[in-house]
Amino acid sequence: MTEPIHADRFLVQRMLRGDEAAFAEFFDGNFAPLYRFALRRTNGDADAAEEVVQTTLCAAIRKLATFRGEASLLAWLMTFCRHEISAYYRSRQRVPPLVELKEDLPEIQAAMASISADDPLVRKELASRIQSILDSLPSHYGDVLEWKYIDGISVLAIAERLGISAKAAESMLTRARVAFRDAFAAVGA
Amino acid sequence: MDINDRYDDEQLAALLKVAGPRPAVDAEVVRRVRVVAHDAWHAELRQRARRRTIGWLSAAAAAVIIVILTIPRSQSPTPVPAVRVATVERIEGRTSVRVGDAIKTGAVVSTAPESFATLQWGDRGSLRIAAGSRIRFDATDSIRLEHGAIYFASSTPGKPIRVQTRFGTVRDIGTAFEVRVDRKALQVRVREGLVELQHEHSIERAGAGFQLLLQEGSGVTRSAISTRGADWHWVLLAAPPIVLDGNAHGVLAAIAREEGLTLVFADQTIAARVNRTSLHDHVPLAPDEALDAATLAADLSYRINGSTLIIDGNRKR
Repeated sequence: MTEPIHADRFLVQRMLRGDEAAFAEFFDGNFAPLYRFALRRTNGDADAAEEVVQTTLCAAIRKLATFRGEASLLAWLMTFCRHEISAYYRSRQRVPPLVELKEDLPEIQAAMASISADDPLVRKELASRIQSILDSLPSHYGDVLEWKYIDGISVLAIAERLGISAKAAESMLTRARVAFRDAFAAVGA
Repeated sequence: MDINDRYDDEQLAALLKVAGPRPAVDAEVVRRVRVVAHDAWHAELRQRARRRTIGWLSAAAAAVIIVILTIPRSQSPTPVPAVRVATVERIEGRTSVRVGDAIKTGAVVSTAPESFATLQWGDRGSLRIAAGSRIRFDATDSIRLEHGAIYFASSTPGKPIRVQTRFGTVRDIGTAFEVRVDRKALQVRVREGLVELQHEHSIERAGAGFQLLLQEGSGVTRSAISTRGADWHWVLLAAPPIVLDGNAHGVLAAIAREEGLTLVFADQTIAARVNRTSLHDHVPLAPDEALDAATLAADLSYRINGSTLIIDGNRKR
């Protein structure tokens, strides 16, 4: 199995060669997580998120040749996105919402240590954080975890959905679980 | 408790259920941003090509001088002019084109969700673009389906078209068919005639009433389908209007084709009568309206049996 970051580098090379399928893969694989990333950081302002993501993608596409694959493509795009969010609020002479700080509140961290959070507010923040972690995972990992554990889809059906063998789907699920656990532990530590 | 110990299957499920599914992004937002990002990508590719060309020209300047000195006349590449390929006949909802627009080679046509566009592709046939689709006219006989679905009904034998997708190329052999593409699969549904799907080094053919399904990472599967019903509803909605003008047989054949039906006559007498009948009207009608109106005007009756449209003369007065 190709390492996700190597796969990202290869994807970018294909895009630079003008491969339409690569563009589709780039857009389909990154748009939704990036949009939700922006939406969380614009306090749920859908218009702002759309504008920010649009400028982010255009800016990143212009700099594609500089992508070296030190981090995942999505992480690289998120760096652009942070910059564009600041620029968006700066141009409107407003201060960006302090969304990222919220995630670091002690009660959120405490909630992460306890799966069964009863406080609705804490639960909401916890849900938001988990969704954010799912979005930050390498390609398809968030999807397979969501399909398996939230939608209750069988491994066989996941394999069919991804056009891969059941064994490959099982292996992807294992890697996705590890990646999620690591990301979650890093945040909750 | 150590976090590593806690994550068995059940606990992971419990944690993820707390979060629930991630919110879906509005399809219209996705479409809008995709169009802009795609254009930005193409602009960047063109920019890169220009930069490369300048680099090559600088590096090869000396060689070029020698070539100029040794070859009396050289040919410079001539840009290929855009050629008119199709005309927009109908639209519904939000599309990137308007009725009457002339579509040239290189043009992109896209449709928003719950929208469609119907184009007359020269004398080749009717091209319908389903909701949430994007196509590019690569040449006079070729389109690239980037995502979504198209339906093509050919009108001129011997003028095949090609539909290119990232999974493979679909070529018609005088037919009516639908091609649908998403991230993971290509689906070709054949309503009439024969279609050829070229994928990597293999060629698959499918006739009317069959579909070919090519999923990412696996081979082509073939299965039987119905040539009418809910799956074809959008094609019928997007059909160009039918005008009851001309030979009744031709009009009924056109209606039957749009409905995915095989036209038959109750007997030879009726067939001969229909062949002799001419219709003269100028009102554009939807296919189902046209069927009622045509049979009424020609003093005929009809019934549908499965996928067969049976025309009879014993209309109740």
